[in-house]
Amino acid sequence: MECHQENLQIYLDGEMDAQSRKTLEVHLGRCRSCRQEIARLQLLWLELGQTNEMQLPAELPYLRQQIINQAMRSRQDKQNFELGYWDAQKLAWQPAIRGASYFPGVGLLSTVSRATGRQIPKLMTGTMALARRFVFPSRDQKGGNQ
Amino acid sequence: MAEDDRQLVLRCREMQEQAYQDLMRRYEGYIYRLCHRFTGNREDALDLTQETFIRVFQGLDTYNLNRPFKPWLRQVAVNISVNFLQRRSSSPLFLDQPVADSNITLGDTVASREDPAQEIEWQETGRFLQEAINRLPQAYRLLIVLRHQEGMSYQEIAEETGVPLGTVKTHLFRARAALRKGLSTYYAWEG
Repeated sequence: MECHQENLQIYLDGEMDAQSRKTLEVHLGRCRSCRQEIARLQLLWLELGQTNEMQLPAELPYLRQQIINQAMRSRQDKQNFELGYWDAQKLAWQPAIRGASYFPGVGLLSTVSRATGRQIPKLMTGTMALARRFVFPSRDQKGGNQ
Repeated sequence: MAEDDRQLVLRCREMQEQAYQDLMRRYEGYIYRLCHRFTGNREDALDLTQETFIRVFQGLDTYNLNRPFKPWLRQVAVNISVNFLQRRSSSPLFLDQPVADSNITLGDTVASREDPAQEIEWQETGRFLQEAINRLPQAYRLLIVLRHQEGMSYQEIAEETGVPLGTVKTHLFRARAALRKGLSTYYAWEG
């Protein structure tokens, strides 16, 4: 193995595979110059690994509170904006149900059903129920006295 | 026993302010010091700290609770710092092309090799090195911090910064060669 500073750096970083490590260690046993160099690099590694605890700025607690206030406000806004599932369904289906209600004779279906003794298909009764509830609320639901 | 990070995140999701307070108190110092090491500047470090936590709190709902919190937090800080340094740099932060060693100097803190009799201001090695690190190009400084102070492997650094593995290695080698050269002159090492 040639004398190469990069190899020594990779070795000190612990990034060398086992075979290369062995080869380098044999080389170090024979090469005074590399031994000298690795000792110097080890000093550098030691110093670079030191983490001096720098003082924290006095405004950090204030910054913390600002961040938290902003985060909680954003979260609250997000929750308020999200519609409940049924609210979303009401909005989405309203145009279709209102449109269906304009078909001629739709309002007379129940009367016809009673007169003929035939039942209205469930799909249509369901649609009419939705229309009464969401599109055309009855007088009672509106708060009428009758 | 202190609540673990996962519990605090769950409580943050439930909008418990104390959980936000506890989470920030636990990590604000770490993030501030990390950003300060990247930028060498107090105001920038404060801005980056703020941006980091804002981004983290925005991402709490999608954060994977099975993943350790601190490495995720660090990754957000690194991404934000890299983007910040990139915006401020007139050229790409991490160059694939070789950078001439003559571009990396350690300034006037190191005595000239040509004049060994010149007096130097003796200072403790750690302080000398810190000043030397501050004089490195910002990309080199960021990699030095991630490797030596965060203990990350070459691969982890590459993944977290988005820099190719070969570039990470090359930049690290060059940064450390420059620092070693500075130490050599400072300590008057022969050879």
